[in-house]
Amino acid sequence: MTAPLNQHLPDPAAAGPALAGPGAAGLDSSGLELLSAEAAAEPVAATEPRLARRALTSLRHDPVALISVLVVIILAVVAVLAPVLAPYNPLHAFSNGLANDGAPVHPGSTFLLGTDPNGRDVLSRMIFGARVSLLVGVVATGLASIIGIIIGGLAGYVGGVLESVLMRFTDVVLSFPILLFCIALIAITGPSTRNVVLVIAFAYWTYLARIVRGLVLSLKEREFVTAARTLGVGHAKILWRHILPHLTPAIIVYSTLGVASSILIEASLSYLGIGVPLPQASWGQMISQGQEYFQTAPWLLIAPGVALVITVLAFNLAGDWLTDLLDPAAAETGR
Amino acid sequence: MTPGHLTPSGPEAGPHPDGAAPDPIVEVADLQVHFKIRRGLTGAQTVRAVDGVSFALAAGETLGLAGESGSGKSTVARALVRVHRPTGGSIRVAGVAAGRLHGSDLRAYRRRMQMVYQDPYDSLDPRMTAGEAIGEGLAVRGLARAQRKAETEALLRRVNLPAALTARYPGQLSGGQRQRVSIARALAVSPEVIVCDEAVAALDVSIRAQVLNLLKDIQADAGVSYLFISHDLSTLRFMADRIAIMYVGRLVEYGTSGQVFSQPQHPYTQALMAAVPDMANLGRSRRAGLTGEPPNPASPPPGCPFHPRCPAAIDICRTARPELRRKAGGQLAACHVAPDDPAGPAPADAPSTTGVTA
Amino acid sequence: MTAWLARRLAQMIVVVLGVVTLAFLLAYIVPGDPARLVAGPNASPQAVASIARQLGLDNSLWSQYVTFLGRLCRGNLGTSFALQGRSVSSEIVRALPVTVVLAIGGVLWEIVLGIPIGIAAAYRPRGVLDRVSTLGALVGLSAPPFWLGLMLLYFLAYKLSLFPLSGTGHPFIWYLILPSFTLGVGGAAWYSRMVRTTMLGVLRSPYIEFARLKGMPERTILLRHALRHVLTPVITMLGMDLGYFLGGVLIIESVFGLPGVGQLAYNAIGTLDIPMITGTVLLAALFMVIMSFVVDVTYTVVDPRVRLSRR
Repeated sequence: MTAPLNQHLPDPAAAGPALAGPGAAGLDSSGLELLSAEAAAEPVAATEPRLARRALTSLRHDPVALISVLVVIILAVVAVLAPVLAPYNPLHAFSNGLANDGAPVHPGSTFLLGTDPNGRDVLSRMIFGARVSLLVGVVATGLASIIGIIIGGLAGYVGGVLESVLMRFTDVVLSFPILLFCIALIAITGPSTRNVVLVIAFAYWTYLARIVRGLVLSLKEREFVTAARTLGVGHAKILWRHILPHLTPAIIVYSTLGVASSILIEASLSYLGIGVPLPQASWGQMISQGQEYFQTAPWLLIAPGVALVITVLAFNLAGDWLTDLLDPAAAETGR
Repeated sequence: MTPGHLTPSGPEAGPHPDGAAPDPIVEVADLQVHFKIRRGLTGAQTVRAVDGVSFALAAGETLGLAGESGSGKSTVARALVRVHRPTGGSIRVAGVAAGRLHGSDLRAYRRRMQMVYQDPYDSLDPRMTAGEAIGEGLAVRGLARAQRKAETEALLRRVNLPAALTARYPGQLSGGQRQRVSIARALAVSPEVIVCDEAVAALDVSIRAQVLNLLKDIQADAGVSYLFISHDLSTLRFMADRIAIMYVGRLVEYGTSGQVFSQPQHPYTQALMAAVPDMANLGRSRRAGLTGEPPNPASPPPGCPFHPRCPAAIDICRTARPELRRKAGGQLAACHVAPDDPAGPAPADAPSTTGVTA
Repeated sequence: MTAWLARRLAQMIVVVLGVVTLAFLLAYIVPGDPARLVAGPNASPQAVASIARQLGLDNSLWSQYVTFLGRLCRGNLGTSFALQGRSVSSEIVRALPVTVVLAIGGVLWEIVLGIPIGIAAAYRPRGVLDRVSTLGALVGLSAPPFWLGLMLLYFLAYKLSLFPLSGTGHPFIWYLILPSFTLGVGGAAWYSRMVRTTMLGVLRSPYIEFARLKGMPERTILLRHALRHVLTPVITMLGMDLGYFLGGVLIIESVFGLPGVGQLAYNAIGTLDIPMITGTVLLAALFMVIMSFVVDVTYTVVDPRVRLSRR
């Protein structure tokens, strides 16, 4: 009854049904024959549609997402081509920019959106304001992402004391209301566009650090990471080749929403007068200037605000669409 | 327990017909792997996942490790490839003590022992192609990028996969194909031992045969040794030259495949055998199968841990822990009830006798 | 549970210490000479120097820190540099009521707007109300709060004279309706979408199906069964929001001219009033830490799964 142990092909009667399969028909046959046998027995899993194709399909079916992505693209183009698109120099105070009584000029043929209290063209300032908003948003978020990934990644991967220390530090920074924190930091560094970017980045990295740490903690336990460790792959390589690519969806989603938030924070700082300094144009700052003239020149107040709403909305919606596309699990919780 | 006790050497050694004694490539002695679980404010409980396991593996042979979930067999596997750090005991591979290595020594050690995992999907990075996965192993071996392509294709051919699969992602491969890629990846570093942790359990039954045959081929070609872990005795009967049965972190039976399958000594082994459907034994009345649940590894029963479920338990089983002793069939078993080998005491601590007879 | 509680408390203390230290450091590196500020622009160098000594500003960083910690433990936040020697804590206490009412108002608006709209949207997905509320929510989320406040002021207070233009007065509540609404709209928008998503998910689950098969009217199902799942995360987020608001929402207070803690902080930063900066920033952070702890504990009470996992 004992199965012949040294034999390659088992005696089907003794070994039981489990081993009597097409494969037992002989290994001397070429790989092709074996492959066709396997193909007959087990169909190959369907090819997953490439990401780009899925993205385009989903955009076609979702007009809202499509519009928001288009708006983002348009904004990017406007931001880059601002010097070309703006009719006038946004910093230049025109002599005919103010009416005789010194009030800003209404929207008309010369100045399509009128002028601001200094006689500068509102439309040009709006266009350059787009450049500022997008620049600050993208760079600040990019910087925040890098910091967040490094800190969260280290905390999650290394664990132990380092994780506790880093996470407590993250908690401490998170406890400060973000705007207040930014204001305090600006007070230290002085207002300038560059400082606004740095300050926002230093306040915002904490959110991604938390997310990354959680992701890395669970990724660490995945079997392919264990397999790589067993192969003898070094830690740095594992982080770079195995863990980081799995973080990409979350990072992209976070970044898109982060740009929206950063734009809002920059607008708030500029509104308070400590963001982008005059005479440079920023939407938040334009709103602050327009406050005084809300009776006579309400467009000064409304136009930049609408621009902000559209921009932030577009990024938020695009971020939502990306969440659905890249990270369906997160989409379930709606965050 | 000394390693010598379990080393297959001498004329009674394993399945080698000419009786030549192969040097053991892996010697595991009294391996312990304990985990601490935090309970309450200060209390920590120790789970003895592996509590004193010893075995030896010769070059080119397959040792089967069987047991239920929670028996500790996977932990043994992972301790062997140094995913878990052994808490006690020793692991020697080709004479080198593996337990305390780190740094470049650990990396060198890692190239001697590789592992094929149970989950064919999760053990491959879904974002790397098959070619890249295998290439990673080749990079560890030190191959330059230019050579890797040719070598990757050679490895794929070795596991009977067409070279075209280099560009496919795991999601585009079937379970059997993925396991072959895992095997190819393990082979990429030219290991001496491959641990197969339930490597075919997740595959369709018909595919299982192909993968097992492939493993046997590779063993015949390259002289690789396998530590084959499975809960499925029929697979083990096909693959293993010698078999060790684990229960709650310890070995309860250890012998050649022939010995264990024809005359299981330990009641647990007997119950496991009875549970395997056997075409040749249709119609024969089945012996009683296993009842009850495996015990909690954090707090096993006193005495013989199997006694609550054992149909043959006697008083001593409740109080005294049985040691592995040579039994009537020739293999080792840890049981108070199974009759000892009349051909000599061969107590657990005899220095250099062969513990295993053909 | 007690083990977890003890660990969480210890964690909170560590964070509080970190917050205190960070607040101190921030104030320390704000540029400008506080002694000169206190002394006034016309003071002689000797007067400035003596004031510097009085304030302990010539001590080392470490000794200033230790003094700071010591005073903090006794509840003393120091004296304001800019406000003629008034104590920081008393100023904060004076400004707090406005902020507290604003904060509570904001949270109330979040609840009143966010939850019912979210439920209604889930009731009839893709219906008119759903689409309108989604649009409204998106705008509410994306509009900068200060701009929204200004728009509301322009249209409702100026054009329609429904609300006062700024400041406080009688009746107190009336002055805070628009500000608290502006404060709460963003959060309400987020909650309405979250409630909608969560409810839609829950409404698809098998045991809700079973309730329907039993003949339970949809409305009862919605309110009695599905709502419970939504309340847990909402309640906890509300707690965090409250913590955040209590710190003083500077922008809203600035737009509406409310003399709350936020304004205090902003003026302090403008005048480099270091004790005031430290005091207000510290207060804001402490509220957040405490509320975060309360939220964690609430989670344990409300969700039995969480309670069991915390040993």
